[in-house]
Amino acid sequence: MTATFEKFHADARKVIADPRYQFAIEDATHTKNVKRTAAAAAYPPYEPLRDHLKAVRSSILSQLGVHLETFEKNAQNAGATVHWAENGEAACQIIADICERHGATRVVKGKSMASEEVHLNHYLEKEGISPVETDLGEWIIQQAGDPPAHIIAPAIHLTRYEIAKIFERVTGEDVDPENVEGMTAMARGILRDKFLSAEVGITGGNVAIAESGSIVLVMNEGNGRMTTSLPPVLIMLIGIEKVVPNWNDASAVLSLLARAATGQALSQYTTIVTGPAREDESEGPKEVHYVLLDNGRSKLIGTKYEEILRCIRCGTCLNVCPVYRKIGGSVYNTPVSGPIGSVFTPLIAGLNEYVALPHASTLCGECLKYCPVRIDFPRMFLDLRSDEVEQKVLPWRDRVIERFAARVMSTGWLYHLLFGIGRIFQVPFIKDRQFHLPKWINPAKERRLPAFGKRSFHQVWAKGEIKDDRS
Amino acid sequence: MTARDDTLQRLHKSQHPEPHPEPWESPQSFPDLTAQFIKALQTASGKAFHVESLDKALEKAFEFMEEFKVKRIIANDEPPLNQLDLPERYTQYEWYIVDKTEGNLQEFCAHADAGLTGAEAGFAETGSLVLVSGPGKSRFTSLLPPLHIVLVQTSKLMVDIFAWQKSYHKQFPGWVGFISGPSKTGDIEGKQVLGVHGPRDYIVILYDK
Repeated sequence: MTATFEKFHADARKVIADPRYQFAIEDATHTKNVKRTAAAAAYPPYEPLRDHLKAVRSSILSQLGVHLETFEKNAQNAGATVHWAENGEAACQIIADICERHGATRVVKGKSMASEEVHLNHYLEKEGISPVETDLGEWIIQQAGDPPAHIIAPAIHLTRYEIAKIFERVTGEDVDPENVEGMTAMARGILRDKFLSAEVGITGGNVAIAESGSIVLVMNEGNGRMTTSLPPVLIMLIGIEKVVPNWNDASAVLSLLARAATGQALSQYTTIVTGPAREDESEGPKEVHYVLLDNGRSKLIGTKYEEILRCIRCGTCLNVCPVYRKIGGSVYNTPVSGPIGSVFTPLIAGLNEYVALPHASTLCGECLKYCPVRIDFPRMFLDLRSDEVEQKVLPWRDRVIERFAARVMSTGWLYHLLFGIGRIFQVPFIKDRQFHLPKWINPAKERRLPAFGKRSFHQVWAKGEIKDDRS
Repeated sequence: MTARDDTLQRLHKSQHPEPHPEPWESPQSFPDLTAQFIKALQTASGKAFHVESLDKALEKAFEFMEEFKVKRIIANDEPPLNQLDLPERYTQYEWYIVDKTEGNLQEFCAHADAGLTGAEAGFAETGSLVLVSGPGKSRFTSLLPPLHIVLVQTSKLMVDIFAWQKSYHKQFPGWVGFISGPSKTGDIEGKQVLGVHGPRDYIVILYDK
C-alpha cells in the first residue's frame, strides 16, 4: 500500500465528486462531533483530565521499557504467554504459529487497528486460515473487500442499499435495505454460529495495565466479549505504546476514550482480560497469548515524533479534520487515516511510500485543539514535510520550488522585488481580479488564484491604514 | 538477539524519565448515587428500577420474565441469587444454575431466554455494573441470552470508576466486565440497533436491603 501524490489526488478527486459519499462522511463526522461536544460538556472534569492524561501518557513513553517489563512479569504471573513482535510480519507469524499448533482453521476476530496495521487477515488467509471479523462494521467491509473508512466506524462509507446487497450475496436471501434491524439480526445469527464453533479468538486491546497484567478491550456490540470468552485459545495483539502502569491511569484513559470517540460516558462493554480462565472456572479461554507489537514504535521514543504514541485511538482528529471530512478514510490508503494516520503511517511504514500524507492537512489546528491527549499534529506535519525535503523524498522539481520559495519568503528585498514584478506582468492575465491561466501552468489546477492587489500588505501597513487590534 | 531484547534495549537506551503525575483524584460527586445510576443507564439505552427490598426486586424481575415470555433462565450461583431457591420458587421456568445444574452450560445458554446475575459493584456516574468470572459466575449468563436482568444492592454503588479502582485490591480474575447498557451498534448508516451480539434488553433492579 502506498499514498503517492498521483494516487492520493486521483483517489481524492473520485470521492469528492461522489455526492453520496460526501453526504455519508459529513453526516457521520458531524454526528460524532455533536456527541463528543455534548459528552464533554456533561462531564465537568473533561478538560482537566485531558491535561492529566497528556502528562500521564508522556511520562509512560519516557520510560516505556520499564512499564513493559512490569506488564510482562505480571501477565506471566496471571498465566498469559507474552510474545514480542519486532514488526508486522513477525506478529503475523507468531499468530499463525499459535493457530497452526492448535490445528485451528476457524478463527473469530474482534476489531483491531493493530491487526489492520500488520495486514493480519491477508497473512492468515495465505496460511489457509480464514479469520472472520465479528464487529458488524468490520464484517460488512470484510465481505465488501474494503479497508476500514474510520477507526471507530469502519463502514461509514457504505449505504444501507449497498450493505443490503452484501447481505443478499452472503445469505442468498432477499434483504430489505430499510430493515436495518433485520440485517443486524441476520449478522447476529451468522456470527453466533461462528463464535460457538471457533477454535481461536483474536482481538486487539485498548489499554495494557502493568500492575495487573491485564488487557482492556472496549466495545459496544459485545463481539469482543464473545471473542475473548468462547474460543479455547485467545490471542490479543496490542501496540507496545498502549501500556499504562496502573489502574488509576487506565481509568483516566477509559474516562476520556468513549466520550471522545462516541460521546458515551463509557462504552457498553469494557472487558478486562487477565490471563486464561482460572482452575476453578468451568469456561473461558484455556490459553491466552498477548502479542506486543513494536513495528517501528520503539524507534520513535526520544525523537521529535514520540508524542504521536500518546494516541488512544479515539478518532476525534478524523472527525474534526476538514481534509478527512472531504475525502474520508479510503484515500489515505492506510488503516489508520485522518491526522493520526497521516503522521503515524509515514513514520512506521515509510515516508517514501506515504509521501502525500503529511500534506493531507490544512494546518488549521483543529486536531490539536480537540485531541484528548493534546497531540501536536500540525507541528509534526511540518516536521515531516521538512524531512521530505531533507531526505529527498519529494521529486526534485518540488524540492527546487520549495527551496526557492523559502529563500524568497525569508529575504525581504527579493520578496518585494519579485512581487513588484508580478504586479506589473500579471496585467494581461487578469480578468475580474482573478488569474486566467492555461490549466497546465496554473498551480491551483481548476481554481483561479486571486490577482495581486495594487499595493502590497507591507505598503498598506506602513501607511497605518490597518488597525492593529491584537490585545 | 530476540525481538524482546531488541525492543527493550532500544527503549532503555532512549529513555528520558519524566515524573509520573500524581494519581487522578476524581472531583465527581452525586447527592443521590441511585438516581444518578438510573439516569446514566437510561442514557445508554438500559433500564433501571429502584425498589426497597430484595423481595420487591425479585417480584419486579419476574414481571419482566413474564412480559418477555421467558421460558428458559440461566442464573449465576452468586449473592443474592443463591439464597433465594429460585428453581423451587419459580417452577414454571426451565432453570440452569451455573456450576450446579448438570449438562453443558454453553448449549443451555445459547438457547436461554434470560440471564440473571448479581454484580460486584456499580459506577453511578456512568450507570455501569462490574461483573467478574469465577466459581458460580459464568461469563455467558450476561452475554448470550437476549435479556439480562441484574439484581444489585444500592450499597454497592460507588461514584465512578476511580472510586472502584481505589477500593479494588483483589487479584484480578480471568475476566472483569463493566456493563454500561445493552449490546448496541451504529454500523449501518449510524442507525442505532440494540442486541447485535449480546443482550437486546438489559434491566438493572436496585434494592436497598
